[in-house]
Amino acid sequence: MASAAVHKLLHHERSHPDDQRDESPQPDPHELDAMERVRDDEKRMLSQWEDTKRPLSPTQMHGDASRKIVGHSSRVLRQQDFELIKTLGTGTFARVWLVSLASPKDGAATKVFALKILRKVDVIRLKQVEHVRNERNVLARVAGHPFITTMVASFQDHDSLYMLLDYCPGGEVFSYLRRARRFNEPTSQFYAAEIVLILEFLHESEGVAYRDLKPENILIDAQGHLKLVDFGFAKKVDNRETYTLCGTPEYLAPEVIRNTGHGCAVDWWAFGILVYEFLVGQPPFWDQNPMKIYEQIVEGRVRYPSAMSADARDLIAGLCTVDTSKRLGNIQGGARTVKEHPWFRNIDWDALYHRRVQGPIVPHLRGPADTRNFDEYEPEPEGREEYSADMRDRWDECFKDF
Amino acid sequence: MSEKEPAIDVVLKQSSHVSPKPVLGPTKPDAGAAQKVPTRCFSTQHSRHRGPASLAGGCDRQLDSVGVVVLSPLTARLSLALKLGLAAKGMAETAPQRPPPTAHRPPRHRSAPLCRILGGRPSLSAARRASSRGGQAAVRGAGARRAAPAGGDAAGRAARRGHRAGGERSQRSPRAAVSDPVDCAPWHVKSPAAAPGSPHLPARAPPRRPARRHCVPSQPFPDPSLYSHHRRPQFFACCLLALPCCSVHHYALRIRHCVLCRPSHGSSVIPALLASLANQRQRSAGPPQPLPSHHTSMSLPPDYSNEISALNREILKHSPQDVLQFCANFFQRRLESQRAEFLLSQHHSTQGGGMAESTFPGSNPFGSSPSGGLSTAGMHRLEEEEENDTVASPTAQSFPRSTDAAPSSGESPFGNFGGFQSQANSRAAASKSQPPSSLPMDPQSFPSNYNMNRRTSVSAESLNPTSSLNDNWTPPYHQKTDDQQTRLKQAVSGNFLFSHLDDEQSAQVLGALQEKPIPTKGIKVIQQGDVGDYFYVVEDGHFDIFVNKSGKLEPGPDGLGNKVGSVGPGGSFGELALMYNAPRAATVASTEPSTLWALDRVTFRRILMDSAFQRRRMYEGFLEEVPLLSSLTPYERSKIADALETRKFPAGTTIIKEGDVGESFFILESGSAEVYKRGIDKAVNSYKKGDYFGELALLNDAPRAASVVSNTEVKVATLGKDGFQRLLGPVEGIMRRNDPSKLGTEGVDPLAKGK
Repeated sequence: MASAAVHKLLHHERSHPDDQRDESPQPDPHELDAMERVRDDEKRMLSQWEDTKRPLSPTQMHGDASRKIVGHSSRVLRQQDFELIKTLGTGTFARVWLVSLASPKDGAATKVFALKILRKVDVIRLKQVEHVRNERNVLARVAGHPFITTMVASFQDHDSLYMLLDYCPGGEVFSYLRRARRFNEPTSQFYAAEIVLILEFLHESEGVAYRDLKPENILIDAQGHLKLVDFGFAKKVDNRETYTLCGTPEYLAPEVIRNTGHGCAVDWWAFGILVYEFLVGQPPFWDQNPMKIYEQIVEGRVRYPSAMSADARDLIAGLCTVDTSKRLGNIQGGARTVKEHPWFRNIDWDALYHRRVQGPIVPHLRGPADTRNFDEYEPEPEGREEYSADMRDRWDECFKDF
Repeated sequence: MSEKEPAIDVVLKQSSHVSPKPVLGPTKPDAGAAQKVPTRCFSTQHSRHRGPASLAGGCDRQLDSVGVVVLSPLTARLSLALKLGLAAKGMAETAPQRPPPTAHRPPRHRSAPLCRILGGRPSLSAARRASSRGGQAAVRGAGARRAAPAGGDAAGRAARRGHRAGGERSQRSPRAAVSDPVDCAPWHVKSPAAAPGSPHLPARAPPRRPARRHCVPSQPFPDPSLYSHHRRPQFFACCLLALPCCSVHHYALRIRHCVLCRPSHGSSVIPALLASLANQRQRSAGPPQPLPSHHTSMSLPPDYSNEISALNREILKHSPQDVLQFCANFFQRRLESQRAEFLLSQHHSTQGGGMAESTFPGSNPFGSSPSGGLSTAGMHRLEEEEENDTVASPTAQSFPRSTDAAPSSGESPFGNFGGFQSQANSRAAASKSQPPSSLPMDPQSFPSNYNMNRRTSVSAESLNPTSSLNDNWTPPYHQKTDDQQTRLKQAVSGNFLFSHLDDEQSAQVLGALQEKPIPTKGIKVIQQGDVGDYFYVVEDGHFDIFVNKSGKLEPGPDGLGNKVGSVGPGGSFGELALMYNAPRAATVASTEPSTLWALDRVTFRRILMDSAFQRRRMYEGFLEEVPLLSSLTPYERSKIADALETRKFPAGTTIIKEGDVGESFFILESGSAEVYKRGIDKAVNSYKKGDYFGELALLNDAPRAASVVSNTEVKVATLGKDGFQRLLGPVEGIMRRNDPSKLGTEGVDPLAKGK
């Protein structure tokens, strides 16, 4: 039903080949009227989607991305359609806000989303145009996976790009991990297993390398399940290697540091680091001097706490293998070999995918818009560089699909 | 109604004793101090959280947790002395920036459950242990308090001195207290004084268990200011005297640190400490006597005497230079071995108890650290990882040992956080039988200097090889003399970014280095905080390196910050710029007219990328030509190409030998080779670039049918059967994808042979 509505909407919208950009001067009044209607429809859809939100089945996931009810590029939404409530996170060129629908209708008042706002000028300055486009496209493709943040829609205005995401009120796994110092094995296994499902899907169904796995990028949703966020470095690599160095220092794979070309195998390396950090409380390679971290990574010798279980060590050793032709997850069988690892023997993978397994941390929330699990962030600095007409001429083409 | 529920986070749900209010008042994190003192930085940062974080953050300032930290025989009396000292201090403290420890102490009855939440079993086991040893049951909270008036001489003395010291301190304290976090920073950061000479050690030869241990206490400090060097040395000595043996090292560590930064104090502290120890030894020299009464006598328990005499033996045996450090190490090892033994004995009795718990024994997730000398039986059990000790770079003083202090038990510090809820009860039950190995540590204190903050992602410019093929990019080339070339090669040889390069890449990279004259002294080649794009090698001249604590170069005469080193011919700096665009960590300024070689990131990474890219495409092309592998998908081919290993052989090398069992297959990448068969004088075939041989080894273990000998120097790409099977499974399976009839026509028909 909702799906049909969106289709109508998209169809309707696409039937205007000369899309009205938000800022286009002097739109035809009739056109404007039609656009307002579409906007209302779209906003209604957003509020309804929140109600019917549920993960797509594996078959739906694997189907045609354009048939999904979420993840479309909206030509009608604007920032004014949302009320910014609170900053949930910041990056070098992006800020994520908790938002609600502005002037909500019929019971949509409690509907909240996370709105990621990227300023075009910063994106260009930091040479992240390619990454931002990758992010949007990958998120659109993967929307609906049970453990990946759902991009409901994306849109843009003259100086910013917007991604409307579902809100995960549990906050970052990072916060829980630092508070707990480390997770015990069952907790680690549960979270690691959900990550395995994510990586399996990204790599084997989508050919996407995520490239920035770390506890900071994993959120906990209201039911206690994981949601992977921030696809800023995600890239569809398929069977080609890629060369751009990106990630987080402690989690970089050796082949990324050596610039010999990397692929999905970097995620399995990072996954090993992640499991280690879950169990130990800090990643295996660390130094105050980043170059020393990289030296250790390229060397690839992991030290394990003496009481870490043999299975956990074996898993981490398999994942954190410098030689990609020996790395667990990258070798024959792919994610299956990881899933079959003895450390995961207690995991019911099917039940896990369908979210039938109770997570170890279920956040207590006072409401759907509870933000207590998120840290406070500094307000946005004033006086940012303007996105000039000059830049628009030069760059807007790059953002046209947003 | 959910709105009305108190804001107790899920993790505290089970503990109704605990007030949801923060124990530690919110403190403003000091940005500067936070940089240097991650531990404190963390707890203050998180004190902003409602609920558990602040509770936990406050715990390290709880005196009661001191009471349970102390595990050894002398526990009650000694912790008592400490407490009194602390209490005195707390009263005397005036307006410190951090709240004084007592100010936020919750009512005593709360402390026990709180500690149980945070430290889990430990408090219980500590109490049990204490009571089982000589009935000194006053470990916990109020008990210790009540025992105070009747306390032993030492305790009383200690307390009185503590009082006095506290009082004395109060007169100086405002300044002292304020500067404390900063002054203590070297405890966490690399301090030149603390590790003399270590940055100059060769890259791969760190001392076994490097001396940085002393920077890393393994237990939480009840209150850091207790060990502050602003304290009178007598107070330290007194505390040490009063401490149980297993904790001595811990405090000694801290004092040693203070010694390092305040030599004048050190001169009195060390003798005081040693005198105390000697004194105690004398008193306990004879056969251990049972304690007549735990309230009136200063006699030492037998365990203590045994430990001390063991220490004496070790001291005599090794006559260490650094006595304090030696003692500290000694007790640390003893503690670990004792815990390990206990853990192992428990382990066997509690096995099979449902879901495995990640209980890391001891305070140290990295196991023990015998640094030679001692060999107590139990210690060997923890040595399994020791072979890896040398992994850490000597300049990485911080890393692995830093976890020394890590955490409590593996049990979740959060009441119902422990994974699957159904397990919660059994776990709680199990926790009662936990070994003393689970130190009741404050999980919030991370004396490791691992930065616990959010980590930012890094990213270099997008490099796209396909476009680089189109625009036909060639790396810049700058002529150099042979001499210069050799020197440059030497200069970068120690850098891991260059050590992996093959000859061509290396030649290209060296060729791309561009000469950059520095005409005069005082030129800042790189500036701290600026974005970095270039890596530099010094050809001649000298440069000074400055670091400003603010993190960037400031205007003004002192803007450079402190000089931290210098670099001369053959030295290099700025190598992080070859990875991605990160702010410079230091300012480098010339001290005389000089010459540099410069290399920018994009050039460097592009050279690496292009050569890797071309090689991969070449390999994929070669692989396509191998009939045996013709059914590989492009994806599989790219995986094999990724796994191919390049090897070089000089002319005249027998690459494969007839009759040997074949294990690898080869593609000739450059050069030429000839094929010989036994009994035939001249070559039966010859191979040139792109030819492959030995591929049947992927399929079976049949002996090589011929020998291949290199004509010229050759470069081959090779892959073993193991590697192939790991990546793609048995070749037979891949072969069967083909129509068997087609195989026959291809000349190579291993399946037919196999039948």
